[in-house]
Amino acid sequence: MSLLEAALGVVVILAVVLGIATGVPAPDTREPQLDAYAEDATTILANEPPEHRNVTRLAEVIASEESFQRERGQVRARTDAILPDNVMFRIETPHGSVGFPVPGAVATGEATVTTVAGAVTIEVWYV
Amino acid sequence: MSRIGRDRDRAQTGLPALAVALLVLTMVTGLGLAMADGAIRSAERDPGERRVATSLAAGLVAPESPLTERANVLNESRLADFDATRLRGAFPVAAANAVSVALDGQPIASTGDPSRGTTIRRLVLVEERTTERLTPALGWQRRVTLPRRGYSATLTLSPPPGTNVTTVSASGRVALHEDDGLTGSYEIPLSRYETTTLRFVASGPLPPGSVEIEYDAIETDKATLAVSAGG
Repeated sequence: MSLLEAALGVVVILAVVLGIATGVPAPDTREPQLDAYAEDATTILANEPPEHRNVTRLAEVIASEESFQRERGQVRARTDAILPDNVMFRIETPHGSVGFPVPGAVATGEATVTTVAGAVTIEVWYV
Repeated sequence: MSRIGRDRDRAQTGLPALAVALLVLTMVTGLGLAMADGAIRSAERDPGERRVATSLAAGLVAPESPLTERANVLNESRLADFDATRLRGAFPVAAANAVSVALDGQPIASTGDPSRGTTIRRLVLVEERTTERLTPALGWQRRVTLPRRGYSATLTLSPPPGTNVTTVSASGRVALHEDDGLTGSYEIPLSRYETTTLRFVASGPLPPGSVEIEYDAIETDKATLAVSAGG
């Protein structure tokens, strides 16, 4: 009789402890770092001088549909070079996107920069 | 008699069970409290050091930082001069905490040993300026395109007697003009956003050697700046 009550008590206490142990969130240290990576990549790309004409390299690339189609490979290679090897990226521009499709359920960092030709968003995540 | 004896028997059999139950419950309670305490303690973290690392890293790559030329672009010569004293002087937070700054794994400055602390990495470019010299043979158009971009150029004009160099234009903009003739050294600013073509207007022939151009070519390299704080 009292053993049954004790067993019930044990279950209740264990439930409370389990709630505390699983309810405390683990610190998320990945997102601030990813945000920093995305911000750095946009800053570097946005401040790079152009190769032909226009104000900056990024503005030159997204100036028109043709220039974007022509230069997208170079932008991809340049962003790949700037970002660390364990980070993948996707760049959204008014004329389309460059990079890898964003997988679901991963921590991502994001940064947006505006140019004379429109806004460019870079999203990065760990491989 | 037998009834009382039965009752006493029952109470006596219940007593050890109650004692065991209480013992088990107490043990589990103690164990549970210890587990909860451990869980809360492991979740406790020091947001201070993370904040120090994040803000110091942001400060170091900002355009007004003592290291940078512009946002996220570090100047190599200033990087070479940087040490713990300058780090403390520019960022007082570095004096109050153990921080260390490293570029591509090479330590630059540190005010302690934050080996167990938080590290924030920033992507930067390291800009190096080299001085290039050019003695162009000007064609009939009297123009020369600088092979690389730079911030400024020094022109040394020594035209032959009888030739007056009146105007020098850089990418279509007049940089120097003197009706009586330009001779000697002049410094003109350049743009890093476009390739510069210099054009000379002179009243006579300009043989090779009458114009000498010295300019600082820019070269950038990718690097990772790691800032650790804590300890």
